[in-house]
Amino acid sequence: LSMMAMGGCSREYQTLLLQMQQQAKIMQNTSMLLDPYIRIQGLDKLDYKEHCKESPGTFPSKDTLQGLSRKGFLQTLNATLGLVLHRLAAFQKKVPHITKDKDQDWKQVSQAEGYIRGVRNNIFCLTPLLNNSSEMVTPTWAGPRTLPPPSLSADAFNHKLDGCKFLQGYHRFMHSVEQVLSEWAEGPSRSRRHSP
Amino acid sequence: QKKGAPHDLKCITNNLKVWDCSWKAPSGRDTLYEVCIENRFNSCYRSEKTNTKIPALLPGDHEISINPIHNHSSISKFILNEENISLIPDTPEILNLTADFSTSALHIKWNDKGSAFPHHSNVTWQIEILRKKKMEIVTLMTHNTTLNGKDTLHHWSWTSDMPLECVTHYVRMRCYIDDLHFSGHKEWSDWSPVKNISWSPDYQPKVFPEDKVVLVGSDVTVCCVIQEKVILAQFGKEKCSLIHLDGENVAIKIYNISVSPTSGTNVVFTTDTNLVGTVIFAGYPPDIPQKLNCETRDLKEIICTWNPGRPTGLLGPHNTSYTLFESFSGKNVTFKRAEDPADISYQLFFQMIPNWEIYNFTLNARNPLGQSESTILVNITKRAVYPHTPTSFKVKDTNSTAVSLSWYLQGNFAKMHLLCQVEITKSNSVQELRNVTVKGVEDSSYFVVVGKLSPYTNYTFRIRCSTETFWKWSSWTIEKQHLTTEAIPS
Repeated sequence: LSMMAMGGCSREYQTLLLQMQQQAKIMQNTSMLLDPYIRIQGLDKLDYKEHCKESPGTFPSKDTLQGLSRKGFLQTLNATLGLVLHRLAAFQKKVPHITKDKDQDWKQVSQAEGYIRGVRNNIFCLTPLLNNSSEMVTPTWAGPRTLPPPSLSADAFNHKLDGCKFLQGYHRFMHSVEQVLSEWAEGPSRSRRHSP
Repeated sequence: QKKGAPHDLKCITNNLKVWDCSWKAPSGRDTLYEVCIENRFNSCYRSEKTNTKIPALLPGDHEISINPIHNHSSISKFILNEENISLIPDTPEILNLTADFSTSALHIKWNDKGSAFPHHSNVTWQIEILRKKKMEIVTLMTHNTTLNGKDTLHHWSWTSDMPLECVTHYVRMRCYIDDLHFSGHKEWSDWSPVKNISWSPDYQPKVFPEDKVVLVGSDVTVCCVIQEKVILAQFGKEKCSLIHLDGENVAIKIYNISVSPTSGTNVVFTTDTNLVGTVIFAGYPPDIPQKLNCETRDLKEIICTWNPGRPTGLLGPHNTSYTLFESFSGKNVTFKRAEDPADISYQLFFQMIPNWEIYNFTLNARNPLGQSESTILVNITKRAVYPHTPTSFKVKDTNSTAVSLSWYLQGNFAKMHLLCQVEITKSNSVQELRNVTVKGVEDSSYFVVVGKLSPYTNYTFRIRCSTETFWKWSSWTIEKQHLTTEAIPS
């Protein structure tokens, strides 16, 4: 199963769950998105790490995710990744395809986008396999309805740092997602407040 | 002069109309003086001080007597001549000093008080810019004007290489009047009182200029308004030496800046606890649009295409914007680049004006560093029609030696004739081209009969069209195989 395949749904719950776990494991790695972003933005030449920490509240914490029902978790994951895609689109918009096609880091950003679409596709396939409701309900994560707007800061440099903090949070979020999914894989009885 | 008599008479003038004379005398005695000009008017002036103003005297020697009223014996006589007088203009005054922080420009306004002068004179103004509390001289510039008998306001601007936000700038000025009629000494006025401009920081560390777009090769000064000690400044990956301003504010100077990457070049100031920065976008002004070509596919819409020329290195909000302006109609169309970054073709669509043939287009390219333009004059019906590919191409039998071809051509060709070319390829690959002319119509199908064919033979047909006043062929239609019917036995 391709990590980024879009299209028909597997009816295998465990297969889908395993694939999402693998996707989350890959996506938590900063080499997938944060590192190329930093190079593109020229931040790699600075001691930026101290100034590129996740802003609390941007992404749901692990505890929050663990406190959600499975359906709520999938809805929250889907909505959050939707907003990440929106942010990536804004980031890529001003750069002509000529540049993106030739630059390795930009290719990496596009690939990361593909992974996100792949996870959302699996969410779409997995949700009906949870019992009853198959239509998508608004996420039960009580966090910000939308992620902070693409540009918190007006000036370009702080805008770059904002993006850095955002992606730091994204990778942490995917790490938490992978941990929650692995708890699911151990079976419903074993995971704390989980009820499918 | 007798001992105790007035001595060392010295006269200056600020405006060539009045001489301001002063002399020395033993202090504390004879507080009343009578100054007389020994001429036919014998005008005298009394003063309680050791100076007095007298009207300017004509060129030549004039005898002056200064008589301390209470002591006749110590009267002093002097010979006054314009040549010994010093013209020292009044100290100018800066009426208004303002700053445009976004462009780092200082604007000053002053009044030349020309009404005080009897005749036109050349004036040289010296304007001095100083920085920092230590008032270090930054530059001294001269500006020449002419006094014309009236008070005239003058404006003058100066652009600082250092952002005005980062350090207090001081301005003062003085002047020198070169009056050609005056034979005495000419000297500079005193410096005007200093005026200063400073930015009121909001105690958030900030770097200036913010997100500046600069020309490749220029020198740029970037500075940081901050309360804590800056330990490192970087431009891209280069470490830069710090220029210390007032307080903890610092600056760096970047020489001969090179073109920036797509995301701009970061300029960052690091302290023990903080990282403050800005982004510089170094690029080029737009090149003159090259190979500007305007043609129409359907005589309804004109498509202008061009090559942008040298890349500017600037993207996003600093990207080049293009506007196509048609001078006869006054209409214009703007090119929006960002809509579909995948689409890298540079083209604009201009709606044709009914019954209008000649179009005078100017394509203007503009970005934050400048603009350029190209023009093209087009007779749209004569040398600019590039028809769409004909569609719905069909071949039907007419008889054993003739077929009828039909095709559809989008476009308003009602006012002209179309020249179409039929390519006929016989089975044994003998190829023949036949030109046919058809009356143009609007968005219509066309028919033509092709004769002199061989019966019962395989042919391949395709067609393309142009206008009678040829500019470009359309693309060929798809090929159509066709077997002509058998001849009827005679």
